[in-house]
Amino acid sequence: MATTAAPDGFEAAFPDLFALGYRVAFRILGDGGDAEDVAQEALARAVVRWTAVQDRAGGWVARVAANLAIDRYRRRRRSGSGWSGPGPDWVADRYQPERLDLARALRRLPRRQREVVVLRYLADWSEQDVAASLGCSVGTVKSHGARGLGSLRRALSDGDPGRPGGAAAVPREGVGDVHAP
Amino acid sequence: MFTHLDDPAAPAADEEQLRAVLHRADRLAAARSSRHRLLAGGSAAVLFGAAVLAGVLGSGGTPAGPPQGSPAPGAGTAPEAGAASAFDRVPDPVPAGTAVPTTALTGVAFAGADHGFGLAAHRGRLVLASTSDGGAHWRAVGGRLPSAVRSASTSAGTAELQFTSATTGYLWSGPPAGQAGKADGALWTTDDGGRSWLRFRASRMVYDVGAIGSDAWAVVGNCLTGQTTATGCSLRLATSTDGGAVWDERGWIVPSWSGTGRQGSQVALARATPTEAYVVAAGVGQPAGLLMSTDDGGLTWQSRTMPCAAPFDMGAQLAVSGTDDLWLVCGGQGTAGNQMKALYRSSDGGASWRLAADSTGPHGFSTPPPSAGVGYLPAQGYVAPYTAGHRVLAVASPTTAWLFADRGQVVETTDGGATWRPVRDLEGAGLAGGAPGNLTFVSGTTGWVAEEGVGLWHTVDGVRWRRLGR
Repeated sequence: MATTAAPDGFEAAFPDLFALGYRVAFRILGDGGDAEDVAQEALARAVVRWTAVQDRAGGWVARVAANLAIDRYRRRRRSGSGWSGPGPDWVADRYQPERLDLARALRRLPRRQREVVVLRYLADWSEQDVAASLGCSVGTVKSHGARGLGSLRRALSDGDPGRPGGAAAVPREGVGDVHAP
Repeated sequence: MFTHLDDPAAPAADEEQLRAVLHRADRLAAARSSRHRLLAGGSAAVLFGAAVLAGVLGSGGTPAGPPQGSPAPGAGTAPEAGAASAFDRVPDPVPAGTAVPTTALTGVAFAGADHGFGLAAHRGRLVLASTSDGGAHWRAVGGRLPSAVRSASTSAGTAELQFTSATTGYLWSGPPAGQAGKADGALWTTDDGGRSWLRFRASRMVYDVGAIGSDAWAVVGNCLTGQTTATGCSLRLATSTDGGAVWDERGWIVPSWSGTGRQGSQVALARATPTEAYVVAAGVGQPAGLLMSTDDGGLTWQSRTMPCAAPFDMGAQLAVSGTDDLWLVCGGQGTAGNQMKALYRSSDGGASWRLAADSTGPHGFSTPPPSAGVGYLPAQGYVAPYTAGHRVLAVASPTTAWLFADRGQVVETTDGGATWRPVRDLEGAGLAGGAPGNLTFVSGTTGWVAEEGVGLWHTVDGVRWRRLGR
């Protein structure tokens, strides 16, 4: 396809940003094709706004990828496809119920809590990096993260606690990695 | 903490991914620019409307200009006798603008009466050619086809092509024998008339594509091994609303289904309207396949009666002339260039079927109908197994259709399939379906027949055919 050149700095950042967007999307959707589409869309949007986002591109891409993945989950839910019933081999995903709960819980979080949870637990960033990306203090990240994680834990506990990745996989405040550096 | 949800086979970011992102960014930027112009109001809004109108005309009606690029020696003149060998003497890569003889075409796809594209055999590889005069003259597009298609054996007929405008097109390849269920889906799209291609990475094999304007559907799945058996397979629908730049695998056509695939079997999509479509999976399951329909844009699918049954259970092809008018030709055992066939018709969207014709009598066109009300379908030629790109059935109306069976003649019916006769203008033309080629129509009267090494024929009234180029 005939395309314009990548803006300065984008091509160098592309591999890491793509991997980040893909990881965030895949953890929610559990489908490689969907995650790839989401990562591409998030990065395309970053290109369009590159001048504004390049200094905080990682956080921006992770958050947009999470939002796009949640949107995709909602569309699937409305169409009743791909998320329930016995599926073929490519959805024989033992963590599918957990992804479903995760998407649902993320959707319900207040914006700031969701941003922190996405960056901290889906992008695997440190609290310091999350704080720098969001332009807030580490303490704010801790408090939003704790509240968001609490909501996630409750949502994931609503299901079968014995299932893989269920409630047992979500750390308790002060015990798991909530307060880890 | 969610590392257990990661993809152990996450793809690496590569050049292709980067191109896809930049391409999508271009479209986003263009859309934003258009919105801004529209919001500016006044004359800007008028200009935007004119631009949209021009786009509509350019993509669907008025033919665009010829392929860009520096014409090679010989370009600009009609291909003449001996052009095929001259074409093969052109070194690879074939320069844009190089004249391509019609005898090199292995299959054609037209976006309208004038604009068409074709895969052409060149030194054992495939190149893309285009025409803007209804197929009279063809030029190499230039650029590069995806390597999986470009390097494919031209005798295998491994790639299929569809264009919806002079610029937007789709290219896909059927399941490679013995690899379905493992291989990535192989579907590429172009928005620059085939000069460059963008790959869509489907979760499974891409079986068929149907596009109406910029609204494109692809059937993906793992139902056929191409060789022996697939169990617990599924078919899924991928859709794009922007000409193939971004795809969404939105849902199941068949979520979980045990079936038996045969070598060369086909899963095909037939779109009657933007929201109504049919998917036929032939040679799979019991009795001899699966027929699904949707009337809500692919959100939900309903199972329909699949009439093909033994002995006509080796494969089938479906064509539609309208929302509810379906034609299904089923193939049975074949031998020595002949195959038992049955043609079923439905006028209620597949809810019920009637046998319109079959070839249970002795081979030959003079055989009387085997039973009252059932016509005779020539046994000559194969409708199954499916050769990628070789759609054997084209339907113009509830009464008129053409059949170009592999290794058979082109035959036509004007009475709904009860009687079939060879197309007079094509008799003796050497068309035999043995080489890659196809039969395609863009309206009830305008169509083309191509076969590699033989040539290209064209009709504008559905009755008289004339040869194009050489």
